[in-house]
Amino acid sequence: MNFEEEFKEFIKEYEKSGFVSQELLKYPRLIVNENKVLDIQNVKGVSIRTKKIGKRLKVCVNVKKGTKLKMPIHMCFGVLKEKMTQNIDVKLTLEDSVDIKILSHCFFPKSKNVTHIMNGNFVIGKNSRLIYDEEHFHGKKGAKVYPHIRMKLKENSYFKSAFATKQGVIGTLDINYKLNLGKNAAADVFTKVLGRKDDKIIIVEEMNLIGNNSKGLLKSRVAATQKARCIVKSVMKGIGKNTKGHVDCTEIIEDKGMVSAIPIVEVKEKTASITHEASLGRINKKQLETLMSKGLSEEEATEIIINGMLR
Amino acid sequence: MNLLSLKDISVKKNGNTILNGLNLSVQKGDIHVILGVNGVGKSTLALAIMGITKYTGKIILENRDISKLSITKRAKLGIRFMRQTPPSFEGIKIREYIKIDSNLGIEEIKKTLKKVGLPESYSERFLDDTLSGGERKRVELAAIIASHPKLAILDEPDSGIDIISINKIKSLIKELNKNGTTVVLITHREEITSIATKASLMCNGKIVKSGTPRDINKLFKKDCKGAKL
Repeated sequence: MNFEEEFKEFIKEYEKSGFVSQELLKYPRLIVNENKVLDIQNVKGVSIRTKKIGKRLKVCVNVKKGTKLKMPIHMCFGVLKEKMTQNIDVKLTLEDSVDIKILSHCFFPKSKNVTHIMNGNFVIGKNSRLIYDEEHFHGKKGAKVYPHIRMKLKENSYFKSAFATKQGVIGTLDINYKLNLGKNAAADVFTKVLGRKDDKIIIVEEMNLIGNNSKGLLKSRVAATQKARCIVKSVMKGIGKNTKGHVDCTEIIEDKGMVSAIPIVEVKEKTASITHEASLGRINKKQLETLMSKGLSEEEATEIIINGMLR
Repeated sequence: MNLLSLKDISVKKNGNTILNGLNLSVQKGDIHVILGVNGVGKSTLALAIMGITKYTGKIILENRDISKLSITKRAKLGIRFMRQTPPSFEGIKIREYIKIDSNLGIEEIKKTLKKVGLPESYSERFLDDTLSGGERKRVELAAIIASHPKLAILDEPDSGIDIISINKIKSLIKELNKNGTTVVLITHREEITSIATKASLMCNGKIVKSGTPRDINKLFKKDCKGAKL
């Protein structure tokens, strides 16, 4: 398959997911199949460069000082093959006073044994703002995905992320985020996952509120149905003065699913305040009965509740 | 004509008798108020009719024994239930919630929300815990109005609603009834009986008397307020 055919095939499969459209192709973007770059579009202020080192693909995204984009930067890392290991290293640097959104898609529609390893190293400059949405599209057999991100937020910066599995069976998911927040920085990390079949899900998120007055929220919503297993470890540390953090974890199970939560909340400064709430267990009975008293079956009501929670 | 008959309904929880051989008949087309002080088993009665709580005895809807039917099947026969404290739902928009049980378009949903005293913009809001208990109650009432049920069981629709809005809620219940829904209205406030066509007094897990709203109100004031019968 030549480059053009591969690109067309990729876009065709991508559109089949129903979650993407030609609209995305208008955005500044990076589209990768396996470890080949199919398309790069830069815009003023944004530089996306790639380099292949052995089987790894290194991606450097640099956003110049003062850049503010209305449209998101679209990044898609896909594998159309059934078997393959995709290794991506992403270095994202937002210089000062940047305001952007990144929409990141991970796309493995035919996976039987695809492994996707993404090591991210993000730096958010002073007074910068990054909205980062990561959405996963898997096939019926699942994949093994390892999104690991290390992030530094400088003074007055803001980061908001949402991770969601949109389609298919997960397989193995190992999320590992570590964020260090500087003075007056704020971060809001929201992870939504639906586990089915034999999915194995490990979510480890750590937020270190190092700078004075920094604020953080770690929020997770997980449903483990059938035989899915899920562990959520949330670490929030109040290190700087007047830091505020909150951990909010809701995990529900159905069938033979299993969930566990390991919250670690730590305060090293007397003016810091860290709170935590967790709810684990079956679907709320009152919610279920209320929907059933509208004529829905128990299965239909359960689906609505889970979909709502993961929205 | 009887729409709903309850025969010898008993509920026990943790060794305590909540409903004790309760009998009740509700006529088609009525607004039938169940009046009683707190703790006499009114909400348990509502849960039993909807099939949410376990009970002994028989429940007949239009000559059909529905005692063994599930919540879903009872709902499919046209029974709807508004809890005293409706739950919140994360990630479900109010318009989506109302659509679960109706064919209303967005404009009609907005109109229904307006009717229950909520801004039209609430159609896009989530039915989560950012809404107050009173607001969730109004949404539930809107959902019931939109679904045109045969029988609506409303558990304390007036609680948590400000005094000014109570008259609005009362007129909505009347309108619901006018449009063909028989209403069982559970309350501990005698003022609400003003919209009733029939009333029953409940004490200690039993209906002790049924009659005109005026008579039941008098009896309630005389014998129930401040002390259980």
